[in-house]
Amino acid sequence: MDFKAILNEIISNVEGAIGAGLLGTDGIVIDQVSLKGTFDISDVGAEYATIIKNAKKASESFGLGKTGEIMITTEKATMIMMTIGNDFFVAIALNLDGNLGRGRLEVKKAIPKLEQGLT
Amino acid sequence: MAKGDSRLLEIEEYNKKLLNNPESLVFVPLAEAYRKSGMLDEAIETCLKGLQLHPAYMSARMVLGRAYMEKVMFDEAAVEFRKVASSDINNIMAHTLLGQLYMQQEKFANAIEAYQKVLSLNPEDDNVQQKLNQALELARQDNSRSRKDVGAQTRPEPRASKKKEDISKAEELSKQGDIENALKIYRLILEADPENMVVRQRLKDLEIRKAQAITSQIKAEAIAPEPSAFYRDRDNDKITSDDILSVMKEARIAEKLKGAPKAAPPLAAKPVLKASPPAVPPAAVKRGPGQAAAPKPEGVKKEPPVLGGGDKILNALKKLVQTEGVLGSMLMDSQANVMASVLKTKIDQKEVAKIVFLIFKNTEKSVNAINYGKDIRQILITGEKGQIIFNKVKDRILLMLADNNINIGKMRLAINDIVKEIR
Repeated sequence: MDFKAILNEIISNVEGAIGAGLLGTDGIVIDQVSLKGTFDISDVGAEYATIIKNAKKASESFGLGKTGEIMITTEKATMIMMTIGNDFFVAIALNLDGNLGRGRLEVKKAIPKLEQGLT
Repeated sequence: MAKGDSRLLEIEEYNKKLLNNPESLVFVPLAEAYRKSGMLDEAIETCLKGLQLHPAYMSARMVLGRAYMEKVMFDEAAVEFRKVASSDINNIMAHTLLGQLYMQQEKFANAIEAYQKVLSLNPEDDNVQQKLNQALELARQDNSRSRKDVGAQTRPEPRASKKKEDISKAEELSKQGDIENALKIYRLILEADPENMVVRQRLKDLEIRKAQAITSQIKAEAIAPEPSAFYRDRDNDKITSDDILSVMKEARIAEKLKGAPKAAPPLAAKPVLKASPPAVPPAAVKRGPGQAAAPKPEGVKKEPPVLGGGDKILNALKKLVQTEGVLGSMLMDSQANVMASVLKTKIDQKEVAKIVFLIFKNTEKSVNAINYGKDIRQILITGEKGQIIFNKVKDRILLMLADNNINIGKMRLAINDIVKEIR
């Protein structure tokens, strides 16, 4: 399965996308792509995994069930993370003026394809 | 718990995983954890062993290169970064680190080439542009110096070897726990060579270690002698009251160290959260025609929303919950004190505030580490039955609970309105 091709498809279809990555919930980076070369998650996969873990705790604590999506906006960028089963997730980073709706849609569309390669 | 301690637990955890499956890729985060803990030899050894099984795994080469770089083994580091750069020509990190390495080795022409490559990939990187300008200036100075030296019989001993000696000495002192003297040496090197990024990083790491040591000492003396339950239970997806207390303690200590005004009075340590039912059930989830009702979680209260806080803020929150799909809202200060709330909950509002505070702070730490901004504006978590939205309003946190039918665009507008009103 060519994960890079799927990730590339996501970012090329989303205006303002910086990069995308496929990671395990243990923080291991499976694959990543970057449009401008500014998205490198190879060294910080564990931090992404911590974010997912915290979101899962929040969902559990507030009785919202299984976590599907996390979106974080900072002064620099917006990150969208969506879970793939229990063990994996896909992350995409966008500029603040990026097309957020499109970003969410493209990631959702890609999940079944990624899931196929992961199982 | 100090960050260093949590790192050791992390190392232990990764080591166990690697032991269970020696072919696993977990050797990379393990090596990275070693590197961040200053255990450079272990980091290098772990990477080298792992790379024998996975020679094409470029993330491992990046970690190995960084460990070599911090050990002042510049040639070895350059080999690794070059391998990454040739395997993935768009790897901006590899080119940037190569540039830094060449600068350390005073190979300015190579540094210029590396920085130019970075800028071709990301022309808007002002930081790298500055580094390139610096490299160009140093190359110019070096050329004119070389011209003056023509004809001279001897050249001065390379400055790099003395520097390397001093760095090794500081590293040794740091390993022995003599942080003060190691810091002194690093500061002296940096005074003579302000552009030395490796030493600057070491100095920063060591200063953090020193601050952590002070924090641990204050904790041991003033708070609790036993380790926090947060790390013991880290795989448990439920938040415990100990989790919250642990983060609150850290926040108060951080404020103390900063000399900030005294924090709020200590929070009750009553362990109610772990056994508590869901705090805010999505009681009012809107359903489309034909959709079955979502199972109503235990803990739903039929009483009117709990109200509190100042009039202006409260009115703003009331207005927010009138937005379609919004189930409740709460505003808290930087110490997790509830300022106003329009939430239907079974458990205490203060406990909800503490959960929110914990999640927000932990997420903020991770986002800072990822380097995607220092100031979190919003976190949105979507679960099967609803959504939680955290917004930073100045130093306050605005919590919102919503059902899954909420229109995110409309919700953002409503939040912007309330943010303006609260400000």
